[in-house]
Amino acid sequence: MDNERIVVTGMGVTSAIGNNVEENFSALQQSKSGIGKIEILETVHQDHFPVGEIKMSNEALAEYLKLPDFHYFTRAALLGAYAAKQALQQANIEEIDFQTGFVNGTSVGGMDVTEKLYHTYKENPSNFLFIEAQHPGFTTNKIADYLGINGVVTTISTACSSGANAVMMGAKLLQKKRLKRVLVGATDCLSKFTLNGFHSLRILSSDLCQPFDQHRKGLNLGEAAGYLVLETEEDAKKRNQPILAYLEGYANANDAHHQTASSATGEGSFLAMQQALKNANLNPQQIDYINAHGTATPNNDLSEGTAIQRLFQETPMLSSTKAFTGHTLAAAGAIEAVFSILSLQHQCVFPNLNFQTKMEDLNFSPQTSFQKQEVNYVLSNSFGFGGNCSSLIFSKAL
Amino acid sequence: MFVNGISTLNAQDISSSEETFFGEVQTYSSPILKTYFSDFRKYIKPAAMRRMSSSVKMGVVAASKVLASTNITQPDAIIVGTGMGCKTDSDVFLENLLASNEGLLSPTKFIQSTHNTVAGQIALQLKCKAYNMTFVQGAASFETALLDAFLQTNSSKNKNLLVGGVDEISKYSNELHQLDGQLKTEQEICNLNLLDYVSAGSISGEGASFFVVSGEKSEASYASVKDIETYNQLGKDGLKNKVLNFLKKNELNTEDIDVFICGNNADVNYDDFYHSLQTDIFSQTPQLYYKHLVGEFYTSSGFAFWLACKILRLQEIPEICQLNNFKPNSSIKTILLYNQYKGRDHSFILLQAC
Repeated sequence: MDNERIVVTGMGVTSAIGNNVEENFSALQQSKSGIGKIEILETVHQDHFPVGEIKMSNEALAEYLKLPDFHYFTRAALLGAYAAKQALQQANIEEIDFQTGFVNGTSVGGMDVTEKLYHTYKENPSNFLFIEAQHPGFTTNKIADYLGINGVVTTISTACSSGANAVMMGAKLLQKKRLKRVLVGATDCLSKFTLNGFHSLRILSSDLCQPFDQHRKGLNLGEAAGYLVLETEEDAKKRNQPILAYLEGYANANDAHHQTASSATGEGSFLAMQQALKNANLNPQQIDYINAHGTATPNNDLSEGTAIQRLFQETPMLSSTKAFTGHTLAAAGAIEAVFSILSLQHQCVFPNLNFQTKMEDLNFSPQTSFQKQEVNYVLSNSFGFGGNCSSLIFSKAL
Repeated sequence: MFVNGISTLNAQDISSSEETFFGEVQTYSSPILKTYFSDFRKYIKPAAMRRMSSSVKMGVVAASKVLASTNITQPDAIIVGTGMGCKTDSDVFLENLLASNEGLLSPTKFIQSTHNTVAGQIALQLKCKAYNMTFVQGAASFETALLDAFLQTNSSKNKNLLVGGVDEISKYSNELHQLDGQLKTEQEICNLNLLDYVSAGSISGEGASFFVVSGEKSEASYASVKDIETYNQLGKDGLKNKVLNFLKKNELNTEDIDVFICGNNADVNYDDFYHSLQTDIFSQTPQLYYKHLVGEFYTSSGFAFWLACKILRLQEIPEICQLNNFKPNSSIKTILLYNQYKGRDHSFILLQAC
């Protein structure tokens, strides 16, 4: 990493296992999954595919955020504003100026309104204001407006690694002194588009997902938003702001194998993890816990597991938390960054739910119960379509 | 950061020689300016091309051209900005989904619909395992991609980064954009007279602009990028202050700007942002515009960046882009780009001769 150490001073999250950081931790501690029947998303697949849905309607979210009646927020913007507010509050950032930036991740952005209004935009002029929701920046702008961030605002969309990449971009902006503090993370809501998209790829499981299990059948989708406030160690100390964790290293690499499938050797994930370790100046054996991407698709878990086996002589404790939240796409890297920091703060590792049988092709099994133990460095993986592979490394606050 | 290779595709005939900006200027009578380039077969194998959407094709070709011109086979990063991504494929998948009431669908269009398809496809074609990123921040998509490259070349000088912007025309988006005032509703519009159409919205375009940038100057360097700034929202007063601060930070005055290139798109509701600078602090500066040539799209400013590089190389300005009668001094050293869309995503890019 370039000279400056980057610290995390605020976190916010909303997911199927809770509407704030404490609720999420409590569910992780009690092995309480949030995956279940679809209640809010309107889809013919309601009874077929379990998902990690946030049981708050758009109306309830808007009311909580005190939005005016005609607010034109997409669901991803509502979830994003909800979680981002928590992060800024924890970091005690009251005054937002041009030194405060925002790097948001999202995969489908405002797809929820696009798919609802697609054929009816013309019927009602009040729908016209949602036309722009078709580009992902619209969702980011809504969150930026809500928070009052007017300076550097950008959106990253690299499918399921967007959240991790947003963290990385934010860190670079701080290290190069373009900003004093930056809100980073991602948001994605459930939509018919993604549900049917993953169904068309035949990688949705009709049962609860089983990451790293020999008999895993596919993933459960989820929705979530997660955000971190990043700043330099120097700045955080100057204003006596408690440091939650350090961002020690990061890397992004490409699998360059197939538009959606991962290579058998996990080349992209191997390179991302290897380069993140190098960036953090760490050896593989120093990693205490891996929060894996672990989507529970046959392809991902084999590819990621193989890459981990190649890189680590002895596999550290590892789990995928996707069986708690579902695969929350762009948000995955962001909420799992929050979970990784919780692991450091509470000195514990989280269970990989629904695991029964070790994979034949791998020499390790994931952690199956909540366990207290010493954790100094956590590696968090996020991989996405387009061969996009990202790894983040967090360390314990001193 | 140095720009060592440039490439652009859009509604103009760019294929001409190194010595000129473009071939015969293309005129259009409708508000939709499709890409002029059609020779995709020269760059993409037919089997691969079959599934490619127009933004993937444009992106892959622009990337191939710029890499070939710089003799780089493996860039150290692929960074793409796109406002709308593969919009057409996304629309087709959604239309099929709605028409079949979530019936059995082919995954092809879903696979192609993700916003990072262009960056992913370039990596696939090159078998390039390097850093791969996609920014989708409306009119600041190309600018934040460029900013990412700028930050990276700052720490590792000897790397060659591929950075670009791409957007495609989507028929349905254009229909909708006529409803919400983004696209002009006049049936016939002559693009070359764009600024005469005083109404809401602009004309629609598409294209791809890709560049090889590096922290190291080469013999072939077109320009050096001194600085980039983006602002999500600014008022007109704020805008003037931010431009002046931006110049000051780079130890420049308004008089040091030899050419000022703006994104005027004839949207009566928002061109005031440009006018506020054009009639004030840059009133004595040679001013250029370009969206009458290529149309408005989220990454059309990639073409402005190309234009600036070309101007610094050729040391002349294309007459067709001139907004006022001022001509630059004998040597063109410093160019400032300013763009925004609907009052958001304001960006300044400062380029200098090297």
